[in-house]
Amino acid sequence: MKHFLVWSPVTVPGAAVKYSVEFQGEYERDYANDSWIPIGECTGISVTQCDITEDISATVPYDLRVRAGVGTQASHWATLSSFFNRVTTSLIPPMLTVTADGYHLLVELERLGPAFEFWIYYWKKGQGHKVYRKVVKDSSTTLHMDTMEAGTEYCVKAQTYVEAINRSSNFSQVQCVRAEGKAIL
Amino acid sequence: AEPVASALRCTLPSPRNVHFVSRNLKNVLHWLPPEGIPEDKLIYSVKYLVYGTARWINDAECRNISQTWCDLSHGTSDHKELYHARVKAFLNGSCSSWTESPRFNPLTDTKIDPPAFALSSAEKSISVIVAAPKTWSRNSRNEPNYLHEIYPTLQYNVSVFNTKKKTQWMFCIKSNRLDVFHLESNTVYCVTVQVYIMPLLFSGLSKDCIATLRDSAFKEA
Amino acid sequence: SLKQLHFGHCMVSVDMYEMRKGFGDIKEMTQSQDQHTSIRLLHGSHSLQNTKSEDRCCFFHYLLKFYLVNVFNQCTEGNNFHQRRVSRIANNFLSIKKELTLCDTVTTCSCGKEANQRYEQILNQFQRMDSHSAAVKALGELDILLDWIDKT
Repeated sequence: MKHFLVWSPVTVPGAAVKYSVEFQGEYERDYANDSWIPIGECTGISVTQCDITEDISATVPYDLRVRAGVGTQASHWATLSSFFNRVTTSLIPPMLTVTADGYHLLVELERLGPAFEFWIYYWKKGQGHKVYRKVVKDSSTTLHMDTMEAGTEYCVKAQTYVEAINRSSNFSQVQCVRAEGKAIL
Repeated sequence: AEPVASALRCTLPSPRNVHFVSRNLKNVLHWLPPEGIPEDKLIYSVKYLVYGTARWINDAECRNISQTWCDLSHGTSDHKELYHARVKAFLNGSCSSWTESPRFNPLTDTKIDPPAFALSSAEKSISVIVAAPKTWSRNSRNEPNYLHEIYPTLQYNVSVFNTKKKTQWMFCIKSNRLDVFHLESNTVYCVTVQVYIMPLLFSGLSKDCIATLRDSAFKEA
Repeated sequence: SLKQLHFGHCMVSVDMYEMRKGFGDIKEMTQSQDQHTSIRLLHGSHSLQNTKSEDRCCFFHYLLKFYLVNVFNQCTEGNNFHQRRVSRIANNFLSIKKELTLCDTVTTCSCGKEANQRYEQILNQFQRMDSHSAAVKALGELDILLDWIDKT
């Protein structure tokens, strides 16, 4: 899960505009006198985007604000029109590469970080009623799904799941591969 | 007997960087000698404290020692407790003040050693048998303690690399044995094994290779 | 790395990776500020995992509120990195507490004698210290609470 705050630039002819971002979680509102916390990496920056993933790390509503500055002058804060909660994050289907290595059904997945699980479903082509599922945590290399029957075609699809927000993505495209050897009819 | 500190003038510079180095729950205290003092004549004394109690405990093995480490596994073997330790230096009738270690939580601050494992192979399969990692044991003659008794979530991440095809597969097992079938004969497979306990507690990789046997169909007459 | 705690028919999930990572980043700095090593607030003798199961939910609820009300807001000084890590842990605690309050607290989270006694012991010890030192100690003992949650 990656979360970014983006905003439209402020233009001041002949001046270098810098931006600073602060965040406030529900804790800060309810227990810490509505305090705001600066994001160090997004203080005095010139780009109009800030990676807030590290700070939006709980499933509670957050408020965020940004202001522009030129020298010692600073604008008013611009804040979100409504709170942001990471449960609203959209999960895209995982990139998946399915290969047959002799009799072995292998799957390669992209690395998405510790928050993610991959739910991988596979079945013999034509036997969609008997689907196997494997849950894989953070994966870094090719995963061994199963040993296939000779000459048989197997199909695979996958989705991502994030426990922290109890949400999953849509399925990836189905990919099918065939084991080596002759099928036993 | 340890020189009585109160009779001495403690003006020596203190030992530095006192900290625990723990591997598989063998908890050894390390430190650096005081700055600017010839090391060969220095002696040290170590005490430790169970966090939440007031009594600093002497460890008989760690009194009047000249090395800059001492094994406190015996005194820190209760994993439910947390500990602090401290070190004082003595030289020619003078001494330093105590230097204290950061708080030490054996369960989360220990490092896990890469596990030992054995490989065997047949024509088209290999077997991986992992030796269950042991922890420090109070008395080597006793029944050893095993990491999986202390960490119930312990599992092994095993990777199998086909050196001919350059393909690597990952397996994740709870038991300490893995059999992989339908492999290629006469091929070298390299295996790595890692102990995995929780997201912030896992071992390094241990590695070994083995060749599957030559295909029996082509045995010389 | 999501630990699920079951209290009766109520289930609460705790993101252990997030909490341990957040605390690990501030552990040494926080614990080094705690000079009172002879005092321990979260004693092994009254841990969450060996609390009677019917009192566990209430005791856990007390602990969450204790940290939210008495501890985190006393530990917001320090550099920006420290502030953000405390915020990360605090908002995760709040998320857990909100999940817990969604449970049917009348039946699931009833507060028996054991839960009240254990919490009182912690609070009494906490109130014997000056508030900032006590808050720093409580924050420094977060790994003990995380171990309790892991074992529950």
